Amino acid sequence: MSGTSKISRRDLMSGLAALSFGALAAPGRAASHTLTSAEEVGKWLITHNALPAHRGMLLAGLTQPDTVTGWQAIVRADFASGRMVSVDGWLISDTEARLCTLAALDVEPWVGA
Amino acid sequence: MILNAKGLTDGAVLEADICIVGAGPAGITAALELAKASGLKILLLESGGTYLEDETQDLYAGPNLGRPYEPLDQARLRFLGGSSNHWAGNCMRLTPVDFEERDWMPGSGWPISYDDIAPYYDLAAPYVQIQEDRPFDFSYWARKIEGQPVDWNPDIFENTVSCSSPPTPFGIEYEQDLERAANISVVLYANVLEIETNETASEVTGLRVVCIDGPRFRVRAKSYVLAQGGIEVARLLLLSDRVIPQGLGNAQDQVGRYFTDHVGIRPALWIWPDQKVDRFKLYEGPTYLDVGGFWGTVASSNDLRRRESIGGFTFYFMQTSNSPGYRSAQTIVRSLKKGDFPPYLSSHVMNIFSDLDGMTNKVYDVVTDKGALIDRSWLAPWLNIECVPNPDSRVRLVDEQDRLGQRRIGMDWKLTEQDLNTVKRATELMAQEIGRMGLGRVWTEALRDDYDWPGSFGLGKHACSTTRMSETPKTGVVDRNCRVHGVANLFVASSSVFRTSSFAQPTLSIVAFSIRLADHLKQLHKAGQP
Repeated sequence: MSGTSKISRRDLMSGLAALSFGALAAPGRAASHTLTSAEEVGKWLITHNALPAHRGMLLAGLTQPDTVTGWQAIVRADFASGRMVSVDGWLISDTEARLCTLAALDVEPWVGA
Repeated sequence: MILNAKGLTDGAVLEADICIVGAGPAGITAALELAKASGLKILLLESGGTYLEDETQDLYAGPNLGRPYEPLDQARLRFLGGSSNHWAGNCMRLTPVDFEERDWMPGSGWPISYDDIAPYYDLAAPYVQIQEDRPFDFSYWARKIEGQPVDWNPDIFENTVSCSSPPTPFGIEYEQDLERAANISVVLYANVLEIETNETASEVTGLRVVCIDGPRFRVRAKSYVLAQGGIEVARLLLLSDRVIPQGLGNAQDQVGRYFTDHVGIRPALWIWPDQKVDRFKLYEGPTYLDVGGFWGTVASSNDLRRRESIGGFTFYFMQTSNSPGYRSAQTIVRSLKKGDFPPYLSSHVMNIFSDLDGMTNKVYDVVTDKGALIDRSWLAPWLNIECVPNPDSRVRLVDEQDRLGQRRIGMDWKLTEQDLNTVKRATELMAQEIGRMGLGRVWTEALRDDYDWPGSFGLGKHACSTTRMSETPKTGVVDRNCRVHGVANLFVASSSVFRTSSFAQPTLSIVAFSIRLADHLKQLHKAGQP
């Protein structure tokens, strides 16, 4: 596990909070700090081959609801079915992981594949 | 009455209807129950006195032959009240699935069912001084304490009550009752050296007993109950090898095998709650009431244990200011003290620098020895697991002898890959459930591919399963009534009879099984069939 690609706990949590529960519903209001944090999570996932660095493949596994509660439901469903990804010990949902990776690839997922 | 064996005449013979060896929770409960309205003459032998004495305690010493275990002369206490003089007081019941045969778990499946022991839990409650009004009804306590149960997926977890005993020190609490009971004689400083039998080892004829620096004497009774705990019961059977060279009750090489304890990974994971930590009020520790207390725990559901190939487990939620960064700092310091570097060093270093609160707390703690500076609320659940029955995990006699010339017993404790899988799967399921309910996020090391048992973890010091209950002598030591297979008048009252160990702490069940055994013995003696 590389120390150089280590992400901080704060980055992780703020990134996830922004992506999953706020920023996606209103992307224009996403704070630059949290978006950067999400990118860091995504970079970690790419560096560790946890997810492919491929926009199409990431989006293919991603349902895209148009409400905050919709995203929350998807994230919770991920957890309920055990679709989790470890980010340096933090367990996040598969959807969160894909969103972060897309952020790292500088792709806005709501635009579509 | 309570007697001191030092005052006996050398060569004396003490007689009783029933002799019980060991005055811990099992022995004291059995004695008091047997004495109730029975007219039976009960003799209760205790190796120690009424307080801890080094020369007696040393009789417990024995080497560690396997995985590191608590030193045997510290894991147990050898005086009136036994190990109840240092227990934590957590009381849970065994569950129905504990008694069932689980296909994937060789050696599971008791010869009795949960229904056979269930009525005795109610009778056991007052002995350990827990609430007697619906003690294990989680919803009842949630309403009473005004906390909100977490709505776990019932296919995975169950909210489970751990009742808190004061904790009851049986020697102190019941000394007067023992003293006053007309038909109970407690003999202190009485060390049983050997169980004597007839020529076929089918019946016990007496006990050979000695007092340190004192008289030797014999006990003759119609029935005998071994109640010295999960290690010493096996030791005495193995030492009693005059007729059967492998030891009494051990013709099938079962005595001492299957030793198990409850493993506690502390903590197994950290939860960063999205919600106020008050949300977990019911789970964060015992709430003490007028009598006893309540502690909400999260246990594997019966369905999960039937469905998946993992042992039972229980999470104890603990609020903590110790973060993953704090944990990493501790790990590094411990390794450096040994002149070593921990695995995942870079990860630990970065954990520290990305976790300023935890690092600050650690530095403050080291410098001031005053604990955490920053009051940050994490939840750091402890995970207690049920280990699978393992015949290679055992206690056995060693050549070294104690001051009485008795071979000491060695601890050869082993864990299995299956047990580690239980840790991993339990942790995964907790992360899953916390995420599913949006309660927060989880950090853990336990799901790494190369995760192995931590260097140190909690032990219940619950010696279980060394004389397991079974239908036949081939697969265990005692029968469904806790009678040693093939020996007409020898019984065991101890967690050593537990065929599987459950996730539940054993003391309440030990007491319940003692009451059940006392009932059985009273019926036998009433029928003139001791």
